[in-house]
Amino acid sequence: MSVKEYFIKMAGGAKGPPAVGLQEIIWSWLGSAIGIGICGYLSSGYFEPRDLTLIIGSFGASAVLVYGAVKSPLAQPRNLIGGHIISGLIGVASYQLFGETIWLAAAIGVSLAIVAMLVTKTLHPPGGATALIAVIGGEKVHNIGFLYALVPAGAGAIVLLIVALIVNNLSRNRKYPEYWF
Amino acid sequence: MDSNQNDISGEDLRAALREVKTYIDITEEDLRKIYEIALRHAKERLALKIPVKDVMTRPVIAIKEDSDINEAARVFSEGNVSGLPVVDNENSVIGVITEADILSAAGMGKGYTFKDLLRHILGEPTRKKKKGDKVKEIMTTPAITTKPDADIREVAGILDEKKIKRLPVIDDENRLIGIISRADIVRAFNKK
Repeated sequence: MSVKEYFIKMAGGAKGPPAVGLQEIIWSWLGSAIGIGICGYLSSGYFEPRDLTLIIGSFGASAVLVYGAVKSPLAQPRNLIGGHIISGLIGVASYQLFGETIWLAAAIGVSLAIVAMLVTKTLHPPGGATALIAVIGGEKVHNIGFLYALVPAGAGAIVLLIVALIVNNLSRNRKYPEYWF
Repeated sequence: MDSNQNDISGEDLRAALREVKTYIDITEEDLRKIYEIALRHAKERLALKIPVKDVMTRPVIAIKEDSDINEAARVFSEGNVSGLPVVDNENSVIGVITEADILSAAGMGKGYTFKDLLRHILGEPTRKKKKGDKVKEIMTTPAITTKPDADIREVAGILDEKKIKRLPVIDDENRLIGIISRADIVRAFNKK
């Protein structure tokens, strides 16, 4: 590969996929509003009083996938649930081992979460955020320990999944999931 | 190869993406690449395919179901073959008869030999003792058959798996139109 070829790659050149119709937009909005809404409601009502949480930043990204790009392999149940739990475990482990140096723990946590998701065929981009939050999420998250992988990460993902199953399949043009495992 | 026929326009790809209705995280370029690679694979597979009808033996000698065993034995020796499809009056294949079936009926296969035991363990069909004077009483049925458009690779797989030497070829109405043997397949690959 010459230097010229290297830079030509940066020009891109391909066209993006066409925009989706209004119906798609409405279904995406409805699913994500309900999914995130339920996570937040349960979190503030039942989890936060017990020093837990059911909502983390990475669920916003998961909502984009499972309500906005339902056909994507990245949005399928195996990826959604597996990605959050595996990344959660790795994030917590990374914090507990390297937490003295936050930037190092963050880098190791996110990078190994990606590796683990690729190895286990559970690649789910928000998993990277789940691992990162385990490291930089503050004292409240650190106090949860390894339970973080199950609550909020796994349990919240399951809530999003249930809502996705119910809402996405109401749409004539949608079918969710494409596959389970 | 007619290149125009396979050229897919950007408009076609965009139309396909729109038709799916939901968001798909793929660019038009990637979709085109995947389409072209899949098309190439399909062409390679089709180019390698040898249809049964190109290599089968026809016309084929067959024997009627109500012929007697002596008649079958005569056909075997005159036709220099070791197996024959058995047909009914409509020329539909209803079974297969081999020299072994005749020997068995003639009393050669007395009881089960050590070889039969091995066959049983290996999951091959054991040669049952057959009684009767008519072909239909001692033939193996139902016959495993193939179609003229099947790939001979498929046939090779069946012959190997079932430990048999030939397959009758039938048309859509189940009528016998040819026979394909191990030798036919070997010959086809040798020519290629």
